[in-house]
Amino acid sequence: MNNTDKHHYMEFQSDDFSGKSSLPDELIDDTLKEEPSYSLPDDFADKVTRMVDRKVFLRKKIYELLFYAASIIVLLAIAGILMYFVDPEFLKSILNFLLVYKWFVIIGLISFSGIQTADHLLLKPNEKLIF
Amino acid sequence: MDQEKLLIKQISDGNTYAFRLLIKQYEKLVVHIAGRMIHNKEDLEDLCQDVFMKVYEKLPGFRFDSKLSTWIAAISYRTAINYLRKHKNQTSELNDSSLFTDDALIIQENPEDLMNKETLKKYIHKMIEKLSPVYRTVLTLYHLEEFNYKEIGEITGLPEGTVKNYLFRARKLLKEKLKFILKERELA
Repeated sequence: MNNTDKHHYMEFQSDDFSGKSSLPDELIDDTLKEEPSYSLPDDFADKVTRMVDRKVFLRKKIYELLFYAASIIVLLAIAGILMYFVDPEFLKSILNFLLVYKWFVIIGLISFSGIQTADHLLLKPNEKLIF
Repeated sequence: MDQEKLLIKQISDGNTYAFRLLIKQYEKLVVHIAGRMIHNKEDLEDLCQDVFMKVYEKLPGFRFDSKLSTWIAAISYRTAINYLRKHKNQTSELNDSSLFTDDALIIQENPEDLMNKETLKKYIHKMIEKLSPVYRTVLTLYHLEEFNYKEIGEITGLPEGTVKNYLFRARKLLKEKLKFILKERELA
């Protein structure tokens, strides 16, 4: 509390603006300065820290998985470009195969990504607890 | 301040132990602000968790324009106000600009019990609980947390003059009610 605040506080604290506090003022002051009855559990900080740890871990894993996915796409694109110059017919046959069996390929990729994600986010963090 | 800067840097670098220290340092401030508005114990704990998660997310963007305690208190206040807005049964209480949310404050204690200072304090606590949330918050920030008017203004988004006015009005009303009780006590 700075000096101006203190002065103002003294003003509204006393009826006659003399600065002297009365019994009701004292009681109100004491009550307002008392520690409230509500509080947080003792392990609150640990609980929140664990939540933050988990959040940081998940974010890190999601970035890792996105990085892997992007790397695979880039590698496939480079392989496709190289193949275009080396053996364009073979590239065409691969693209035809992908077009014919597109749904199998899409479902296969989604399943693979799903399993990888579940493995990284759900199973691997618990390994330390099991072993 | 330098220690705070170091702590914030460590937290921003991913040191969760440093964040645990920050929680330990400010959990009382957060629970004092939120507890004045939310009375359900489980909701209060959830809200405090929510406040610290927000603090963690926003901490790298903290530019020391204000004290860290003021900044955390402002997040707590806004989170608690949003909670009250979401829970419709308490919305009317939130929008009420009058001092008391319920004027019918009945003295249930025996007049003889009111001779006791502790009983009187309990009565004052009850009166505080009957104040509207913004008045309760202003009183808590000023008396319990010892923030100044400017800081309370930053936390609540109220102009400094309004903060002074709210403090004055809240104290005056508490005092009037208490004087009335003390008079009753003398007559009894």
